[in-house]
Amino acid sequence: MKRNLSAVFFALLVVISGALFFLQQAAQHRDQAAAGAIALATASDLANLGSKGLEAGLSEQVVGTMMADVLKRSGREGDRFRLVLRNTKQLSASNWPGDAAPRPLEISEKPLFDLILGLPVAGAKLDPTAEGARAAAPLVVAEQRVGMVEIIHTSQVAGPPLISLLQWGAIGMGVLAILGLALVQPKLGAWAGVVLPLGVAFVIGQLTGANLASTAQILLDHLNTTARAVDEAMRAVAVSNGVALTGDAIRLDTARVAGAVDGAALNTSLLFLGGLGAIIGAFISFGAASSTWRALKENPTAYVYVAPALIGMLALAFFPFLYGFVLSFTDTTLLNQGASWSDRWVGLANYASILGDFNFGGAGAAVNYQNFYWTLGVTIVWTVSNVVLGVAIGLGMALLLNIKGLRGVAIYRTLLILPWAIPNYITALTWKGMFHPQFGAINQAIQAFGGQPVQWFDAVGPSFVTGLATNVWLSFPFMMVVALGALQAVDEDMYEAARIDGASPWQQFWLITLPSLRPALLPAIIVSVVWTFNMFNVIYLVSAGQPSGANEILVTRAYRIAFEEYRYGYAAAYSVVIFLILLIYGVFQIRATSATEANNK
Amino acid sequence: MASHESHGGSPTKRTFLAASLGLSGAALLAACGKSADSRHPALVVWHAYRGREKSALEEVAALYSAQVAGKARPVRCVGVPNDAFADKLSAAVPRGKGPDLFIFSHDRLGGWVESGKTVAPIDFFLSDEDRQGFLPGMLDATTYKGVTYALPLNFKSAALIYNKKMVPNPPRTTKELVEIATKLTDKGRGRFGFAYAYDDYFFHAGIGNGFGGGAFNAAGDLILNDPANVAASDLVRKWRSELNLLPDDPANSLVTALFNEERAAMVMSGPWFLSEASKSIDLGIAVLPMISEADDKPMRPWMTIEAIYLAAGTADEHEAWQFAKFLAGPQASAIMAQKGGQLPASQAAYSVPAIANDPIISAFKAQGALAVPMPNLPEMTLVWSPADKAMKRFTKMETTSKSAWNDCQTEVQAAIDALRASQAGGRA
Repeated sequence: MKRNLSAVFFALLVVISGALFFLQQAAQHRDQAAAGAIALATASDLANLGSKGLEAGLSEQVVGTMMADVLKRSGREGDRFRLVLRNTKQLSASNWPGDAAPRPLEISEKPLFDLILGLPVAGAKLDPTAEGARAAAPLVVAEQRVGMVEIIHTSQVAGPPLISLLQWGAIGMGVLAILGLALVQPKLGAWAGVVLPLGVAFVIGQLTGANLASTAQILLDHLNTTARAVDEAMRAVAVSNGVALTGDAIRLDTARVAGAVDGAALNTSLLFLGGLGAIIGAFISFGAASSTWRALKENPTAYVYVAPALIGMLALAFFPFLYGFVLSFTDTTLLNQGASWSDRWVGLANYASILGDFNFGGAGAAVNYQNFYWTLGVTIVWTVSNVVLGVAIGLGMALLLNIKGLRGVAIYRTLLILPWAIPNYITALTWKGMFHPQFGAINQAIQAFGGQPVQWFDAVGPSFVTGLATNVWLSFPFMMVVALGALQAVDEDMYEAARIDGASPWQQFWLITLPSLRPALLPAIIVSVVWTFNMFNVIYLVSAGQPSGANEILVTRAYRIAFEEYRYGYAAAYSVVIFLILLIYGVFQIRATSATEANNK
Repeated sequence: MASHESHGGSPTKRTFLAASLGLSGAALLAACGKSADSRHPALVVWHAYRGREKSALEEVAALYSAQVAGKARPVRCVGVPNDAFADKLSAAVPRGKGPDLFIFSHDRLGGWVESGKTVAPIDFFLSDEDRQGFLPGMLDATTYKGVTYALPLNFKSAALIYNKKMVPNPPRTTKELVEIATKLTDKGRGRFGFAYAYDDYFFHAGIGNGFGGGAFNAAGDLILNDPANVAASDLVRKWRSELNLLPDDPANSLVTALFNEERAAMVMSGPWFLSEASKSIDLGIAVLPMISEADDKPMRPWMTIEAIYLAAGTADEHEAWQFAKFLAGPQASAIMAQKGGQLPASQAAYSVPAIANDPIISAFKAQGALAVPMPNLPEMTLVWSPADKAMKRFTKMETTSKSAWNDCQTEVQAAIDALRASQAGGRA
């Protein structure tokens, strides 16, 4: 009973405090957006007036006075404005207390100057200051940006709360009712920790949505009234100074303000929160929490010892992994990486675009080598052919080296391990040079024997062979070392017994050698598959996917998407797909392996 | 405007979702960000120089530090490996972990401006007199959408580098080039009159721009399949496949090897080639030939301009600017040219007799006057790989120049649209 209560308590604590945070953020955001909209409307009005004033030949001082006049007439003396001109680098007008305009800009005021060229033509909201919401708009005369006006809107805009006190009360009552029910029906008790957080999150989401819908218009009307007052004041000032204005009054539309809080979005995040609460609730009420706690209490030293490694793994492996995973649900690119997560979130669109790409080209057009399934196919063929050849050659070499009484084994072994010891960048570049159509060693050798030189990188097949040859060269020593070690552990008596029974050398190989090698070779093959699947260096450096990207493997393609097309989110999704493929492979392989090993025992 | 309004940092469904998913991560990052002290004891400059360029830069920094001792912070130069430099800047500077200034070529500028919080505009500091101090066109390269972000230091562009023994008089037109090359080429024996990495779009651009093509037009639209580009490509195709003048698969390393073994008499390459060229060869540098096939218009290779940027968020922009101005000024440019072997972008550096009379510098300066700065649009980075692919396709006669460029145009345009779509999604 106590456990169920604490489950509900902690789950609700998470949900309620999370919801309070989100609601507070959302309300703050809505209010800021509203104040910002007023500031922006004012700034673009003043900029419009200023541009026309300067165009009409009025002096900066007069323009500054006109701006102050507009604010006064619309009852907004509290708002602060600054007019900055580009040519003279001057603060031309300002109603900041104690600020004597005109004067040259100080170095610390460079950001104001930078805004002249940095702003969009229609102006923009800026980060709010402690005084209030901030916006600025450029002054444009004869299509030249000549200056800008900055507005700080000091009066606060506060919309109604997203959840009223009454509604909070109702939620509390509901919680108590369900809790009471759970206490009466002990069988249901454990489920209260799961149902309550989800339910509360859902109800809060629904109430917020309803409240948003009913209050958006009130807020909007208030904003429009304010904006219209500025607009009318501007027109009056323009007329009294003999400046002709063009364009309509700025009206704030629903999208500008209501869009500041997306009800559906808030709802989704609240449901996520509810899910989190439910997980915590279940964790406690179904006993997992207490058993974890017990384990921690029983072996405190063990966990202390493990902690550094655990923290290291979290920071170095899991955090980047998680980050990449989250990134794969966004459309992050070079251009928008500074934007908030919300603006970049696209859900599963990247995955849909990768896996749903069935444009294979063909039928008149060239084959679409950028297609995911083509690349996947190449990767699989690449992996299988490499591993088969690598294992075959490695095993062959190991058998040769294992011949009893062979002289100079140490020398051969050293020579054969060399490809493995040389950094694979160097090997890859050397092989690339060897495949050069005219000056490469391979074509020269072919010509020396009277053959025709091969244009290695011009067709899919030969280009694939270049990578294959390089990678087999790089990978067989590993297989050889593994096989050699295992061979030396095979008991000589078994061969002797086999010989006595009249087994041929071939039978000895199939029935004794290979089965004895299996425990050593299988793990080596598994890692080799994973390495080859992601063998970036060889593909990238030798054939570079030529021709036309036909020989790219998944990982080089992901690299190109990330660092040549700068689509980080898409590349992250690509990498997650690669990970999933390898994960599925790994699970199956381990299942299959343990099954065969079980049979052997 | 619309995007600014409707998406002005609004917390949509994704914020909360992401917030709940990545709460711990965000907290971690925030903690890291706060612990940074924004003002270093020295003005930190990141660069990727090595060898004599590095020691020349350090000399300039020491000179400046001595001049301003007691008034401003000294300058500390930090070398960053070249291949990691751009990514390190893009990652570190927006998070306030970067240097005060950095030296980088101009071609990344657009991407940095668009992604924000990386480079600081300098129009506020830059006087008209400062602007006059650079060779014509240099400041255009460091200007993006009308805002200037960096001071040009030096430039590099490809020119014609030739073996004086084999080619006494460098060709002035492509017609002469073909004549000389035909005489010297014996492809079977691996001897060539003219070699360059012709399937590399960077080197091909000189011809493409010469014909009046290029990657983008003045409005920033992609024009890879422009008829001028196709005509330029047909010319290269003729050289390679009809006249058999050029080597197969011409990697830069192959071009260097051919030149050094005196198997190639002329190459198209830039100042970086000089350090790779064999010292025993008496080489000359000339302006690339005019294109006979395009009414004797000059080849206009791409120029990269190295510039000093003020990192966004530096603690004291004015102090950083002072060093930038010093480094781009006459005194420092002369040191960087004479001791670092650079081609200065500063007008005044050429009044130093040793620089003005240097035949190599003069030849590259003449070529530089014809060169065009590589586009600094962020979209340019998307062009390279597909353009190289297109070059390989038509030089190897897999398809016509026209269809190769049409395919390339489609591919790059799609990539640009994808990139732009992400931006239209809204930046706060």
